[in-house]
Amino acid sequence: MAILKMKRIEILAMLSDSKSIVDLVQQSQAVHVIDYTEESNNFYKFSTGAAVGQFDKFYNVTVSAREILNRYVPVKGGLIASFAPRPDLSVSDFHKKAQAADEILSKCYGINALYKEIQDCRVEIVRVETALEQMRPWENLDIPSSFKETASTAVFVGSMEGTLDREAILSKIAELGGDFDLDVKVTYSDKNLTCLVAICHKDDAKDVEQALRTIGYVAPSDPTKHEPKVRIARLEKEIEKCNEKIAENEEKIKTYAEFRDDIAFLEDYFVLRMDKYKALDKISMSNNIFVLRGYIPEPEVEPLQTKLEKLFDVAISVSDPDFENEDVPVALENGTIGRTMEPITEMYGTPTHDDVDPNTVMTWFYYLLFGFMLGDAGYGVIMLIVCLIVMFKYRLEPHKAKTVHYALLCSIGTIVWGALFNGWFGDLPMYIANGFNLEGVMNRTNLDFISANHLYWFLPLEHTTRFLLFAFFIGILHLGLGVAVSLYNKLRHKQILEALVQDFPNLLILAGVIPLINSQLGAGAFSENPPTKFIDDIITVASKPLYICLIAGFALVFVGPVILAIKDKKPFLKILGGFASGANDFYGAASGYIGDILSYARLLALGLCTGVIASVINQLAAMPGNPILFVIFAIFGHTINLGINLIGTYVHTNRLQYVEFFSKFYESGGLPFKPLNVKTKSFKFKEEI
Amino acid sequence: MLQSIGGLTIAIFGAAFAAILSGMGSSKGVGIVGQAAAGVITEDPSKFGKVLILQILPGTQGLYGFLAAFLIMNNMSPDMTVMQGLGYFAAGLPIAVTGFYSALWQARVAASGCSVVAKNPDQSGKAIIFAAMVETYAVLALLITILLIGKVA
Repeated sequence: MAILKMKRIEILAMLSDSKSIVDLVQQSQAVHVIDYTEESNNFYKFSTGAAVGQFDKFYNVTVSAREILNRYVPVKGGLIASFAPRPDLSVSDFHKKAQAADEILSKCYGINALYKEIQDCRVEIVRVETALEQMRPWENLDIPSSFKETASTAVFVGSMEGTLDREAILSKIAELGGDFDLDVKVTYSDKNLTCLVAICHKDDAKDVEQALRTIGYVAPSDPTKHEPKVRIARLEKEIEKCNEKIAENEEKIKTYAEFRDDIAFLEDYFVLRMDKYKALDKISMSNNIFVLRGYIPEPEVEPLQTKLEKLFDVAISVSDPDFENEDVPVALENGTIGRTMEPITEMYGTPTHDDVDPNTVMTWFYYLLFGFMLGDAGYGVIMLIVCLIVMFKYRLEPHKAKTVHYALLCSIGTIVWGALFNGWFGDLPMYIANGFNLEGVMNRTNLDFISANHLYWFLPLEHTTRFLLFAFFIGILHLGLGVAVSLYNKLRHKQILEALVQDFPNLLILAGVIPLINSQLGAGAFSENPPTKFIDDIITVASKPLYICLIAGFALVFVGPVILAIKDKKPFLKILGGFASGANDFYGAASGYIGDILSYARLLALGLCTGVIASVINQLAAMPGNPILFVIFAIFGHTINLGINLIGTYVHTNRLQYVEFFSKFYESGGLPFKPLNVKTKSFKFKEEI
Repeated sequence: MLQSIGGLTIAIFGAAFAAILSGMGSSKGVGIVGQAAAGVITEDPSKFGKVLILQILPGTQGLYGFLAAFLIMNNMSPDMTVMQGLGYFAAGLPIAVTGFYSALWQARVAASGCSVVAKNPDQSGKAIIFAAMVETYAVLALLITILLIGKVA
């Protein structure tokens, strides 16, 4: 549980070795390279922006190629498979593969081009389909829609809005009272559109056209030279062609599947090159030498130095950074269990060099709170089994191990609390004992083994107040730990008096609140039956000293600012003013801690939710009265319940850590340690370098 | 008139209200965040996990209302007095109303959080916490509802 000691490192070497040295530094993954502008004019920067841009472009090509490939030839996988370790790759293999980069890149371009054609075809299909849609009404017309006349007649092909038949059209024309003969044939009619052919003597053409237009006749916007059927057939053929092209290209893309690994390699390869060139950008160089500056955790100095000195002519200087004026990155080192908290802490913010590394401190309470809120041993067992399968199936890489260990510890916490509060998939044991008979469960005909032997602590639903109080007590302990860490941190920085008047009274208050809550809110909720009576007994015995703690705590909060003012030798008026700020602190402590403690009511809310929903699922599943249906329904319901509650529990555990716990001591805002490293997704360098 | 309705019916109304109102709030809330989340996913499907957490946050009020309804249901009996029925009805109100309202506001914070995830995925943890802050009041309301149900019984 510690923040690693950081050293500043300067590596000075011949320019000709620069790329090899950066390669080595990158593979050692130990140096946070910084951009340091040289004051002297003899140094200049090696601008790599263009190269980085080029790699970025190639990188995007490979990424989209791989995505396309995955779309047409999906990779089999799942939650468990995603924890499989990446294959190892030796440096010589890396170079061999890197030589084929151009070839693979051209394949990627090929895949992208094929996909582009597919997309073009899809656009074309949409366009043709629209045209086809417009042609459909004309399908029954047996003359070209551009047909205008015969030797002695004029022909009008066109459409009108609305549903009309021959008689309706003729009567509309008749209403206009023109002096001509006309015949109309309706070739198509639906509720929006009517297609028609009108025929009359050539001499009347003008009048007829006029009359037709008056009643809403429109000539086709894109008349056909042949019968409309011909065009429809042609359009259909075009669509077919496009579909064929799409299918053909999809087949072609599928043939690239064998290169998937190579493409994934290429992706990593470009990321490596990009990172390296970005690092090169930060190096300052003269005509013959270059300087690389950065920060390195102390334990890494020795190995890197020996390695570099063995291989190259280098001058390495290692010095202590100036924490006041430099932005020194923070690297953390924790044990297997403490490490599982690092992603959670990082999400809030990296610690500064003045902070205590919170990871190991928060670990135990984190899993305790998590287990309390999920609170169903059955769900815990499921999580545990998944974690164990992953752990035994694969040799886990460090960052994935972190996640799996995290889930494993969460599951253990869940099992412990679930067992204490008799949550096994809600009340599933009861259903098993009663042969999935709902009535039997309701009347408690047969008690299951756990209930019959009382293999649990107490039932939250029957003792809601006790459950709530217990949640508050856990909260008080959690808050107390936060204050204690703050106290420790102040002592570490030799601020003894501050620790005594600022943090110590808070601890006293938290301790003193326990009997207060117990008597006011619970009124002996713990005293009812033997398994919990010991809590009540302890509180009763300790209540007097604890009340004294409470009063002493508040008194110290009140006079605290005055004591500090006296210590700083402030003028007399300022010391008096300390009382005002003391009163303010007094109010703050009182209201703040009430709010903080109440916030732990979410332990009850989420804890009850999981159990109650699980019981309802069992109840619903038992309704058909068929064991097989019960199993099917229960699996479905419990999966959903577990999913929803996992997310809720995760969020609220984090919230309790961030808002209630961290606010007591944790500053955050440090610069995370981001070494120049090998960020590969699909392979891992072997440890030979 | 209340006598003719009977205590049980009033208690049933109480349970129904708790489930209905908080469920309404939650379903609208989850819907609002879902729309924002879908927008984020169109740009970058890999952020699904992060926005899913945000989307589900306003859903918990519905669960709380459900829990309150269930607890009232557990305490129901055919020979309940009108006063008991009214007591359960009133006990259900805190989570019904606060659940409804806090789900809507939590949804707004969570929807804004989606844009944090879109632009700056590293800070998504903070966006989640902002949204979780709103939930405190739903939790407190549920707490009071549960304590009140205990008192009526």
